[in-house]
Amino acid sequence: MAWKLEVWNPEYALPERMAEEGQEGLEVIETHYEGLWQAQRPQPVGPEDWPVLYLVDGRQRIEAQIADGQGRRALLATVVAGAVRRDSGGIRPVGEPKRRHLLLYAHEALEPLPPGLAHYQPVRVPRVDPTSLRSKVTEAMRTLEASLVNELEGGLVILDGQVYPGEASIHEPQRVLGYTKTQAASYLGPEEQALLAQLQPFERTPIFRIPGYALRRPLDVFSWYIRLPLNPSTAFYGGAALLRVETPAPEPYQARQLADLSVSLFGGMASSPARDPRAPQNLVPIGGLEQWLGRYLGNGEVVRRKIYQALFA
Amino acid sequence: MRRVGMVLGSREAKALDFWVAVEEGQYLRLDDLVYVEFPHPDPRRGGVDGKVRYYGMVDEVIKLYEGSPFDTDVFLAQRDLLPVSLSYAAHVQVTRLEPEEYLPPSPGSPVYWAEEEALQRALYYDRMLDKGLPVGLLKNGEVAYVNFDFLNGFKGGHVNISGVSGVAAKTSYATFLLHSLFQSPANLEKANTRALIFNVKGEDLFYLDKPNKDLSPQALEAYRKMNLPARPFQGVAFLAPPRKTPGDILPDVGRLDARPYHWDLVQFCREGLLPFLFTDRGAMSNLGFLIDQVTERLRHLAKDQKGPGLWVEDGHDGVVTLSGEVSFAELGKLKISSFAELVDYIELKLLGPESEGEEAKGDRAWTARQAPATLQAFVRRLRAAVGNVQHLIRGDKPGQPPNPLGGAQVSVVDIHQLPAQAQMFVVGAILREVFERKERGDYPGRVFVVLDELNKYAPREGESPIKDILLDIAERGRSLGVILIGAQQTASEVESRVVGNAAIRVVGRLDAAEAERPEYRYLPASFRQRAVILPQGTMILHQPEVPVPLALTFPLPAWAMKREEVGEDVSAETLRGLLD
Repeated sequence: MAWKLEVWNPEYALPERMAEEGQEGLEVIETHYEGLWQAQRPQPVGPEDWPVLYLVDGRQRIEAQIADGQGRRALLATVVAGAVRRDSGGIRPVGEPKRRHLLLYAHEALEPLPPGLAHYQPVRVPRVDPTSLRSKVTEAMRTLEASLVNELEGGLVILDGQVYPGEASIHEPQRVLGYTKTQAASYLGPEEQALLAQLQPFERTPIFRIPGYALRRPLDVFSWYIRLPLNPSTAFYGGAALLRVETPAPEPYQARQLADLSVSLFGGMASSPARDPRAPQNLVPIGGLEQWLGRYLGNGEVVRRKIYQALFA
Repeated sequence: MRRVGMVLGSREAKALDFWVAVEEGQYLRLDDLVYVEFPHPDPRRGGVDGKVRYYGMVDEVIKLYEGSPFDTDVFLAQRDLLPVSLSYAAHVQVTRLEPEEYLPPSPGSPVYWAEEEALQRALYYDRMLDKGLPVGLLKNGEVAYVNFDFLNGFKGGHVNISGVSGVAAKTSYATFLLHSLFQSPANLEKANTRALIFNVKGEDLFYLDKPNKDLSPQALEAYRKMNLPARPFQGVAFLAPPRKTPGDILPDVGRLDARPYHWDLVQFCREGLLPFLFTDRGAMSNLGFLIDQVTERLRHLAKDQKGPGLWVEDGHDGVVTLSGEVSFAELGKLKISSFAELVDYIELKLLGPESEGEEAKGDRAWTARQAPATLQAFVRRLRAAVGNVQHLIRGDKPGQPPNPLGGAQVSVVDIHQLPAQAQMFVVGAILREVFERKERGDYPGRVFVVLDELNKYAPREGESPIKDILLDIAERGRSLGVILIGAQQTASEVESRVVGNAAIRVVGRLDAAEAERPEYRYLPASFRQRAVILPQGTMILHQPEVPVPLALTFPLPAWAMKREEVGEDVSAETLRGLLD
């Protein structure tokens, strides 16, 4: 049978963008750190031998779009970020999540919000078109996540998304991993890119270096791809089960060690297509963490009702 | 005040039931008693400090992973992959509101264990005062009480016990109740209290006055806690039907000091016991009328006779055996000296002498204008009874019917070896006697009647004289001081008025189909579910004053419930006493 089902629900963008014709990759990528460019299959590490792990994730919600008397737009949003810790004592949330309520506006002379909405902190942004507002909310969430990373003591920190340099620099970059579920960009040239299609579950590519200026961020990272296992696998197309992992660790040997360990970690935490519309990339603990964060975001309907009440009180 | 949790907000909290989120490190079980306290919106209407307090009993407990939509999440959580949040919640059925302001408790209101005084209030013990009769131990080790006023007939009366035979321990529990009411200070008239127990299975109840050798220290502790002595019954009379063998009248049980009981023919006729031989009066409408007529004639016949045999003025050769001693007053009369002869005599009166063949006519004073078919049916049935009851109704010795209102505190009447018809007769005759004496005011105290297999004596369908008596007891008995402690496997098969009149209802292990019947709707669903798995020694008791049933355990009886349990006293002192 030739046809297989994509695991990701069609409501989400596919995790793997079709490589556009003639796309070349970034020339500044260095791929020479592990000799020959071929699939690596590191020794498996059982869950009982995993180091202390932190998983960090954030959630955001745009709660309302409001306009003042002159029709000037503003946005009410809430972002929240939290972490779970996995150690010999089990897996559980770390403390309370961080939360910020934002009022995004662009114009001068902001009219004050009614008392019921006083907890929304005004943040001035250059433009109020929907796309830049949304990316501003995401940025606020990433900043919260990054500020959380430095507060977590000991152990390996795994961030959902690219490693984002927050307001302060990361204290111990060699213990931080980030991963992206969707491959929006191709970094590798066509020859290296061809290896991705050949990767088997629990295999990774050699590490490669993405300099910060290539992505316009003040951070150089080592990166690699992992093929995640699919379980059940028969009905599903496994080609998309790729994860790109990166670390800001400065030394290649540190990155290599992390890369080897990461195969077992991400392979072990991969979600099942039977349960998750974004399997296997949406890691199981992250799913639980998001649910927990959702409780701190509160019920959207209720929040909206509160805003109603506050505006028309 | 030990806090156990808070009223939770993810489910509805109502005035009569609400959910509690159990705090970490705390726990709640089914039957635990708690109270919630919260301020009344109008402080002047609240109780102490303007607060409202609801007492209640836990009737459901649940644990689950919150917001975890997949059943298999548990495996991920176990492998430390998925962070989960465990919820532990308990549903509380409100038993009492103070003050009586029906407000829903606010989520977040603290919930406390009901202990000591709060427990007393939760179960209305404070209203029972010194009327609390211990009936077992609650799961938390506290004593379970019923208000004696609801047992002794003052405000209510009668107990009904349902449960599967062999597992539910209905009889043990009935004897435990008797022990409690003979020993507890709640019963102020112990000397004037009598109990009548019908022994329907084995010789189980024939060792009530013997200590139980299997009594464990825990059971002793339970008795101590309930403030009841752990000792067997005292002042017990054991009564058994006579053996069917000719000669001396001996009791038909293993216990040698049991007294045999029987009625003589004059008692049988004078007291109108004939109807108790007919258990299916409904089967033929005319038969009832005829039974009443013949009963009346026999009563008339026995007037002024001393017994045990019955003298009649007419008869024929087949009926009468002349005895050697004939007094002057009895000259010219014939003596009937066995139940079989009495049946012959009744046949003669109803159908006429056999020698007259087809033309024979009965005595008009007896036949009550009934068709020959009815008369023949009557005789046929009566003749069929001869084998069953002739050793109980006899003309050779003066009758000694059981007298449960006599000197013995407890009378155990054995009927377990009797045929069904004889059982009906004995139970009916004794109960009628007790009831009539109480109606006449012959005895001032109370009589508690323990009768198992109520479904046989007062079935839901059909009519019988004994069912009439039981209905009489159920409906009028409590004001007369005749209290029925009835038991049956299935309440659904018993006349609903008999069960319905019981103020106190007890359920032991039920079978699953039975537990779903409407007769048990007074139990909340969780109790009905639980009734199917109740272990021996655990009962669910419902009483009028407490709006929720109590799940309770009762200790092993301190008296032997079978021969193997008898703890013989072999101390030197006792043996010497026996020898002297």
